[in-house]
Amino acid sequence: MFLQIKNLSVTFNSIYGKTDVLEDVSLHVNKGEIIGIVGESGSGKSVTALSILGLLDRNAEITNGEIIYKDKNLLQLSEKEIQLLRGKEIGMIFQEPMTALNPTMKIGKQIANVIQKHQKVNKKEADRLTIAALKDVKINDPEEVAKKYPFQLSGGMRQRVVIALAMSAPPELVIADEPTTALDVTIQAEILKLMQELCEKKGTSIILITHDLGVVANICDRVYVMYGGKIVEEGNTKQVLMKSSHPYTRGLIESLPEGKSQDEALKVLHGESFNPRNRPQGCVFYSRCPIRTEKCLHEQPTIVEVNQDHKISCWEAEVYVDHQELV
Amino acid sequence: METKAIELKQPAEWKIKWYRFRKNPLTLIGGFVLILFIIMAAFAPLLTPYEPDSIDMSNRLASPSAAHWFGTDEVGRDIFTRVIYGARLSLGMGISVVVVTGLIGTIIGATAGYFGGKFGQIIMRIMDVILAFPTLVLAMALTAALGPSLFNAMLAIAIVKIPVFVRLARSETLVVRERLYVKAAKTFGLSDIWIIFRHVIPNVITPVIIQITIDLGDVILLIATLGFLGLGAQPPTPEWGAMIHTGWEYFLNQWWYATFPGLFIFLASVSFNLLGDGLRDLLDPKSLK
Repeated sequence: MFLQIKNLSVTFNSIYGKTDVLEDVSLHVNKGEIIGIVGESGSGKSVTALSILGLLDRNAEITNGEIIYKDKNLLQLSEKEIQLLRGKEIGMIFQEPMTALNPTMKIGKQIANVIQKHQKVNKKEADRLTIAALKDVKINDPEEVAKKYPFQLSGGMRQRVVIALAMSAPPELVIADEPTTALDVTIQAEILKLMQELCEKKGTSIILITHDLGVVANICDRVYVMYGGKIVEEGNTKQVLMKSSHPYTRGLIESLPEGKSQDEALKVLHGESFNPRNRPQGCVFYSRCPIRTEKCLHEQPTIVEVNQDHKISCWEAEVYVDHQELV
Repeated sequence: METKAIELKQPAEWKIKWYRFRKNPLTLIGGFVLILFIIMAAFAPLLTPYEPDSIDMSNRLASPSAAHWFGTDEVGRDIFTRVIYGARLSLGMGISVVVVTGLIGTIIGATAGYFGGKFGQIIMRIMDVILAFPTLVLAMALTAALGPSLFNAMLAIAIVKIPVFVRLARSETLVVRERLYVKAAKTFGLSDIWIIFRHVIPNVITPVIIQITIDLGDVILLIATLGFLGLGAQPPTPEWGAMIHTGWEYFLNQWWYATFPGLFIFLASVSFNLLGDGLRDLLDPKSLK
């Protein structure tokens, strides 16, 4: 295993007291694999990603767990040591391509700086590699684009530049935090395809954070579903999407318009997520769960292995699986 | 029927800026006077047949005439010559003090803002201490303590002026620091120092530049004030403040001695202020009309 997060818990300190945002999150990434993390806003996807890079805000505190990357616990590295990993071994792509580039520096220079930093080459060579990197992300006339400032590029172009930047080392792991959310649908597909290609070409692993199940279905090998700071379901993408047995994942899938007839009403997950300052004692999904029982209110569900590639955290999962087959 | 697309041509950005610059006559006057001053300072030796410190005792305290436009002083030196050589000194010192102070202040402020925490707090409290004193009083005290000389006057002015730039740069940095591209730069593995110099400072420098032009007038005034008080440039340096310092003794009978250097101080500081205001309107997108 290439990257493994074990029982990670993160707390935010504020004047209101402590707020647990991640609880016992465990996940792993294999070499060359694309995994997806899905969940709604505030479910802890980005916090998980940022804690890998050690870029959590000052008020965040990691209370438990370890992040093992190539036999090193990232949480025990000094700021200097982790700084060496950033960009070089672990890259990141952000949600907002509009603001992820320095507005006062030319595109080419921004990329060349990073290349020079990681590949230890002279300026001329860095410039050449910059053009190559821009070509890699399918930018036509890279020489022209390199001379432009970010505001002169469209959103899709900028996201390509950001990908080129994140890939410039090239890193072995890329964390993509909702890379397509700010883009329109046609560009989304292109960017995803691009990431997939780069991943195959360079053997890079990708952690793809998204709230779009369609994206997950398209490119992820495995998927983790998060809710309220916990992983509620994990497994092979096909298994999770086709045979989801957690009520939350099922709710998500059933609320998609795909495969529904025109006048069929979409199912809705009623209610809203709990207040993170007031975490439930039992299952995190209790307040919205259609199949909750008394047990769910008081006891946290254990992890159930449906099969080797598919785990869920739900007391009623078995029932639900059966129920699903009945339907 | 043939239809033609309506061509909407946007004038070039510099044209718009130039238009807005021109629209404000005061800025234009400020800029014009400054250009005159700069030409005057640059070509001082060509503009006058006299040397700034050539003494002519037979012709002392002469009133303005064709030979001596601004008259002569108590040892017969030509005041016009001394005033334009003084422009060299005042503009040169003023600009170098403010630019150096501005840049150092920006670096300190950006660092304080970027790292924040205790480090930032300590720097800002030091700046607050400096700001707590009236500018002129502190500058006087510092120059007096260091010993009256031109260099010490410049140093003192740099010290009393730096908090303005530090605070400005810090407050802008606090905004820029939270921008995604700073965080993104971190994920690319760039170091903090690199990020401060290449990503933060270029994005906070505009207001600093405006502040520099606004402060220039102020600094020229301060240099002259210290000179006038006998704390800055020492005679026989042809410095405006120092000239008034000697000239005011003769003011009742030889009005021209103190008047002309004073007029030039006034013109220089007013025109810098006007230009600074104009530039602020021009470069600050928030003041778009």
